[in-house]
Amino acid sequence: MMRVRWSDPRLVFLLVAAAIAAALLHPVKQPIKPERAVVQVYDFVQRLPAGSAMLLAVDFDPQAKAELVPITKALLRHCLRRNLRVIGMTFWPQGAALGQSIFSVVAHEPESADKKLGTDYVYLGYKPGDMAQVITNMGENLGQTFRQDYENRPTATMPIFQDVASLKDVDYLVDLAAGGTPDAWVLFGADKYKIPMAVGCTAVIGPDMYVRLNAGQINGLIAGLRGAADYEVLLNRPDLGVGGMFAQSIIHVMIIVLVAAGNLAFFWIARRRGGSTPAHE
Amino acid sequence: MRAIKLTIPLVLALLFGLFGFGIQYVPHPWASDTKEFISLWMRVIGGIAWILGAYGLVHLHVVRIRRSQPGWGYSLFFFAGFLLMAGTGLYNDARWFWNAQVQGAVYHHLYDALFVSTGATMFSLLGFFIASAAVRTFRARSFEATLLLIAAVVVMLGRVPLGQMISNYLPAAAEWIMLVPNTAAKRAIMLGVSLGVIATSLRIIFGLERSYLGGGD
Repeated sequence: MMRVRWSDPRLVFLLVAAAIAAALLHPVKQPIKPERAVVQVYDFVQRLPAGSAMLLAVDFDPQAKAELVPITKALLRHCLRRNLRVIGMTFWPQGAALGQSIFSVVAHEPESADKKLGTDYVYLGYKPGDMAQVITNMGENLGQTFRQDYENRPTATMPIFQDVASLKDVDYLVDLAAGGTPDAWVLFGADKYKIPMAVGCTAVIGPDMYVRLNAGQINGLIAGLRGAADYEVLLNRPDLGVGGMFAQSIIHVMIIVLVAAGNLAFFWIARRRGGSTPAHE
Repeated sequence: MRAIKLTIPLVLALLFGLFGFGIQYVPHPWASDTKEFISLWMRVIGGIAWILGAYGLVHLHVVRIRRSQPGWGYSLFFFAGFLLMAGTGLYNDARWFWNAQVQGAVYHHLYDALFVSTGATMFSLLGFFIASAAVRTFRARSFEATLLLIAAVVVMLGRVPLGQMISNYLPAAAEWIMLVPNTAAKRAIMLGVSLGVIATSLRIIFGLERSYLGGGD
């Protein structure tokens, strides 16, 4: 009969799958106190006067859907609720259609019924080329860089671009990132044209962004599903972020328990061997 | 021959390197116009690079199938996916690729039902592997390993609402770890990498680094 070790990856996978399934099927409501970095983004958007231009760079692909779609939706809802004008685009070709889908879904929600495409929001899609070069082009002339939106409508006649001629006219820039795009946005966009900027990102790259946050290069950070949940709480509109928090709590606790058990086993084996630590328990 | 293989590339690297560096610091309209002009060309070249990329990918898998290399069967799946997505994208529900993508077209259904789902699934597997790796590798073998273990536990608990329910100090401690030790380590790495990039760029510009020319020099 096959002997299964307690730390066998297959056993861990099974436990994780069972815990996630149980937590998603039977969620328990938990109090969520938003983190300071997320509140900073929310507060900045709150303070922007109606009609301000906001650029949402939807720089991710379907792999980051679970974390970044909830963040994008929450931010977009907030912008439309505050009557800001939102311009969306992406540097990730695989995510261009996903970005369009998010804009379309949020803009067609009942609370955004009065919002008009081309006037209140527009999604420009993907632009090929080196990021630094494209951002530089956007800094010179936004309409020339994106002559058409994602669905080939000419941008020249869109009211949203009448007084947003270039990146310099954007009041707030948020990069929703699953990779290294925030660095280029900070260097060639926010710093150069003096645009306030924030980042929404996957939890994996969150630690990298704290450097930018600490240096004041970004004024807020929405990291991972937890960041999305925080923003949804601030917005008082729970959605996928809040819905996933119980599962995330359970998994974190499960990993801690398994790590603790592994360490206990490690020291128990070491003690039995008279103090020598095992290479692999 | 030596001039073509060595001298001319080195002179070109020197000239274009100094030019590219210089126009960033010249506050003259000519410099900004040149930057704009170059950036437009870079975008055109970037677009063409996609064609080269697709060719390279197809060539790689054709060779793999022709030589029956290990795992060649997976290359068939590559062609199935590649041809299906490219074909439906170009066909665009009979409106062809020079028109905007038709919403609700077959391409979009494939994107939503296959690409988005499989992409999200692949990334979610990371959660399982991280859990397994944490269980097998987080051991308090030394003082440093114990510190790492404690920091990991604090951040894992501090980043979820359950941690807040246990103690308000946990989120605060997690935030401090991210803002102070994490930032210090990241900055050190970033500065080291940046200095390395500057040094390597200068070596290339002044012809000290020649490995990009090939020939193992």
